[in-house]
Amino acid sequence: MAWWSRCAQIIVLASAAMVATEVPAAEQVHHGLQAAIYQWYGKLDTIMNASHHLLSIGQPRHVGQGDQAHVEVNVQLESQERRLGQSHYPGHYEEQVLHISGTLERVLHSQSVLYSLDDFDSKYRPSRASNLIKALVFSWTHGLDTYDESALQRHLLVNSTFVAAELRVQKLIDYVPYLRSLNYLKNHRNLNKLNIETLNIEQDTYRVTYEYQWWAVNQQGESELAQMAVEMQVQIIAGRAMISLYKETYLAPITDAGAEVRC
Amino acid sequence: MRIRSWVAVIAGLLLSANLWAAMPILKGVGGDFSLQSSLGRQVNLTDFRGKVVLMFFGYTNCADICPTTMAHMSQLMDRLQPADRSRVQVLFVSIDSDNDTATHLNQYLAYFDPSFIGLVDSQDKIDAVAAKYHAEYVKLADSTVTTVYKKLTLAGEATDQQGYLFSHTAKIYVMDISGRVRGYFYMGTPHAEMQSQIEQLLQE
Repeated sequence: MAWWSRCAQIIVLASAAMVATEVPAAEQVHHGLQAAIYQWYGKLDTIMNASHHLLSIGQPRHVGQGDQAHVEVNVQLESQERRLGQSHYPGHYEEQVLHISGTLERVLHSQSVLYSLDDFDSKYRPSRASNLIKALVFSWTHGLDTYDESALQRHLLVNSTFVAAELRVQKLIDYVPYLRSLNYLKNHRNLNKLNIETLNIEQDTYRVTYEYQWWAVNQQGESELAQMAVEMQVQIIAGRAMISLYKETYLAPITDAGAEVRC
Repeated sequence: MRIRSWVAVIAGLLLSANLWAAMPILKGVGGDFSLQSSLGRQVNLTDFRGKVVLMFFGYTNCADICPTTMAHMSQLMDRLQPADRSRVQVLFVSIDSDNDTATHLNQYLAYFDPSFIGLVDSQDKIDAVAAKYHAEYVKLADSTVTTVYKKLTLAGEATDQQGYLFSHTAKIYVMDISGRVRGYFYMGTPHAEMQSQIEQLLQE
């Protein structure tokens, strides 16, 4: 009888494993935190006439309690300071700890924990626009994740064009209520394929495209999945990337490409 | 050791029987449609509420992927319990409006399974349905066709036209009992996996 009892335990464990597989294993990124970090370095690029290329962003750690509570994140980056009259510069490899507000939306200060000067010179690669645009993309996505209409509105230029994938949504003001009406128990967006193309260097305008996989659990406990494509036109104004055009479309969900045989 | 082995076998069987996680609802893909059918009448997707629908875009002159996929689905139907089988509907949407007719589709599909329903309509209507389902297809110009396929003459019509080919998606769209797209099968999807997924969808 004992081994039947063991079988029963395994059945329970197997059932639990099946339920667990309903949730995508992809590590979830906090888009607000990413936005804060990229905005921090984009701002530094602007102020210091330097470049900060982020190599990796670690997992946030909650430290301190009460008024002292904040979040720390380790980042690895390659930076360069631009000097007049030179085309090539030595870069710096750095590891920094960023101290971030408890709401994960603002970097308070940074602390260098490792600093290493490259033993070679390299051509200057600007990062200001890409950092500010990544901050915009993550902040926008965070606004969608949290149904924060006013935050989304702050990213749009006056007279901007907004086209949602859902035909029933005509304007941004309709978008957040639509998202809320879905009554998802959980939802998350995984961004990929970000591409930034300069449209006009003098006007600081860019075409930005990316895709995201939008996963959600509805009120019935069912998983929903959408593959979305986004196209933006962006202008950098006073240290912030702003949207002049936003267009979102549904893509066919990604499936096993190897199985997709055509005749 | 013997008991442990049995436990491992039973656990393995249990896991393999339910190895596939529930199919998510795919947003932005699918939707209702109304097309002429091999039944001789207009058919709506809503006619199949309460059934799992397996839908494939193809054409009867296709020499490889369409017949093999239809055969794969025919074998799947044979595996299903009668009660489940009556709640699964296969739809074959013809992308060849110029040549496929309702009669032609009826004869073609009956070869695989008499319960399969063929859908054919004007190219505009087929294009609209294909767009809803992100089902890509394109007719290859005759000049690019290197192999001449002789058109089936199921309806008795003689044909001397040159062979032609469509490049088209090989997806089998899986729709749940509410008509929502839940995923895809392919000709290479194992029958056991298809059966398990269908049974899960029928239990919802």
